[in-house]
Amino acid sequence: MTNEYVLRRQVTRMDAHAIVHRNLPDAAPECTELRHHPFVGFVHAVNHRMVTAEVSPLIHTLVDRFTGRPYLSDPWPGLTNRVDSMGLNEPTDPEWNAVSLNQARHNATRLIRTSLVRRLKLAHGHSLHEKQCLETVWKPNWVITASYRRRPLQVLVDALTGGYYILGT
Amino acid sequence: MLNLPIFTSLVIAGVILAWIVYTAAFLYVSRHYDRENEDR
Amino acid sequence: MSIQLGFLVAYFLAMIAIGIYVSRRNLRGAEEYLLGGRTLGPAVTALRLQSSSMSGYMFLGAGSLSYTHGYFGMWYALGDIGGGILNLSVLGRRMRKLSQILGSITSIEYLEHRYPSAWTRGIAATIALFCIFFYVLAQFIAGGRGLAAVAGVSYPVALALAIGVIVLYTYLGGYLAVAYTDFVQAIIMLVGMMWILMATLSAVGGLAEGNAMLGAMDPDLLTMWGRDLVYQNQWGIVLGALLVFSIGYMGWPHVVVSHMAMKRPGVARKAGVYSMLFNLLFIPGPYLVGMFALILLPTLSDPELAIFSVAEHVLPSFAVGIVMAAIMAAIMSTADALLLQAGTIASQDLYLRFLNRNMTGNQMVIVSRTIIMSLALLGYMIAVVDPPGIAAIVIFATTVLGSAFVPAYVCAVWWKKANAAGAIASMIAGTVTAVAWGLMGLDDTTGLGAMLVGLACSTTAMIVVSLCTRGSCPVPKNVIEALAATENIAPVPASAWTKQDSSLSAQADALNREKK
Repeated sequence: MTNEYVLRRQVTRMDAHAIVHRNLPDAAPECTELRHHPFVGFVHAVNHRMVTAEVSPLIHTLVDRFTGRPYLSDPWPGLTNRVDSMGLNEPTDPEWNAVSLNQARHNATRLIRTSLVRRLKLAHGHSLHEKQCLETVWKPNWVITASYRRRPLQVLVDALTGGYYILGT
Repeated sequence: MLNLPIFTSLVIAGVILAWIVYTAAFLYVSRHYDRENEDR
Repeated sequence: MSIQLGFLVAYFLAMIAIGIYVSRRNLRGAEEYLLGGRTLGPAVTALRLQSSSMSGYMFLGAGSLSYTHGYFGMWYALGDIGGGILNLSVLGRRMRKLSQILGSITSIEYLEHRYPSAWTRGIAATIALFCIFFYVLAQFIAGGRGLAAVAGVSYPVALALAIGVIVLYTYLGGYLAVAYTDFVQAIIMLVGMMWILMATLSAVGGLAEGNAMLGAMDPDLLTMWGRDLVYQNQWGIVLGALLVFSIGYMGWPHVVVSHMAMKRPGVARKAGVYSMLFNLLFIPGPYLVGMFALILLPTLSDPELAIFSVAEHVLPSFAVGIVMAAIMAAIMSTADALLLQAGTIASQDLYLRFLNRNMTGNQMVIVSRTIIMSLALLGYMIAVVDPPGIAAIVIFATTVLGSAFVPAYVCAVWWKKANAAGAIASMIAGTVTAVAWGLMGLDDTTGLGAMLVGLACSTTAMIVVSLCTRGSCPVPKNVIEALAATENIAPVPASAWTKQDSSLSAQADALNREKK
């Protein structure tokens, strides 16, 4: 057991192929692998008069370790502890852009606050309490290598949301 | 045309055309990938 | 008058009711609310995007410009039409990618990441607040004038009421499910504007006939040089007019589009395309109506009410009330968005960054409220005594914004050597020049538009200062690497272009780098 975590993929290999096929019908997938990208995960509890929930409302954020970019996310599906033997095929940290844990925390709270005020405006103040901080959360991405019009092409398909991005563009 | 003086008509038509040409060029460049490979 | 007022009040009550009802049903956990619940589809998203461009300028400013100077107003319209595509193409993909790699979520933060220096943030935030104030002022005046016309109250009272409602909306608007009300509003305005345009054209007997009548009234109106040919051969001014809403627009703080949530954003690009088409249809409308108002109502005391007055003249009374209400609501929601943005800039980019690194949520709200109240009070004081023309204010604000920020944004992605010193110098040079030119009315004396001069000065400052401070203020390593990443962009296959999720670009990049 490590203190690293892995998010379970929500998009299957077949789904990923379907997504590529839908958007690049002439692409012929040749190789598909599951890669993981490192994020920092935070869970914050929000105290705001206008927000009610059966349980205390929690906000999940993921901060890209390589860029510091924070994202709001759905509650994390299938978070498991990373076992040492798990080969995650992680990308090398370029290091020229990586953020510290504190910077990641700062970015996450900034995002949450901006988003709260944008939606709920200024009727009431709010407070955030950090409930959880996961220093390394590995987010799954499918990487499909395909040939498209006789050229090799690699497409990243986000295994949580199903969004895609062609490498190199 | 439309009872407008020539200059006015030319300018309006010209600028709109320029935007259309610009948009077309931009879309063309985006499709460059496809075209480049069709020639191979 | 009272029928119209009745419809106006009924409209607002209906919107509030819809808003509260829908939000009650949706307001569950914080996450669902923040992440927006269901996505709305590209057409609806596009219409919502349009709500922000439908403002006091469109309905009062543009109308008055063309009522006063005829086809001269078209220079602005023509620039405006292209603004969206220019923004998408020139800044577009590279900027989105750079902002992803640098991890920025707002455009001012993006400027600081690209041009690292506390001064970048401080100066950019201040200039943005300055310009937002003027744009908000224009909305206040538009709201005041419109309300005075519809409700029959005096301007100072109407102004206070309009500002009051706007500020109230920035506080309590969170209780309303804005997505739906924005959408309904946008539809009403679109339908209303089209209806006014059609009715106006039919009242004057068609476009050709209308032009003939304008020409008979005063042939100068049909040239593009304004009454008395005041702008003839003033190419500097004309170029400025063309540039204001095409390039100037790129300077607005909302230009950097950031995905806040990790969700499939498929609608974004398509919505962008729809909204461009929408612009093409919608933008010339107010200018045409304003011009033909001269034929139908040649003796209007306030040209800014040209479109409202024409609406009263050509639409059936029930329609007038509803359309005017939609216009008022558009003005208010534009003002609300601007004020909230001012609040965010003041709290995040100034207070948090410089005064209190441990800003709490309550403090953020207090700072936002303070700046909003200050802007509201200052706005009222200026607008009630001697309100400047709406078109003039909006053009001034956009000119300053464009002069200050466009070189910074463009060079951020296109010029590796642009450094913090250059950016700071260019923002200051652009602002000072544009403001001075505007305040001293140098447009007329020199025949050069403020936009043109402002851009020239800020661009020059960027280039000269960046090159001169190459040694003392080098571009940091991480920025150079980030730029290298944005440079190697292969074109995207056309079929995949619209739906690619740009928020994945940084992750894709990490994998791409391994290939080398």
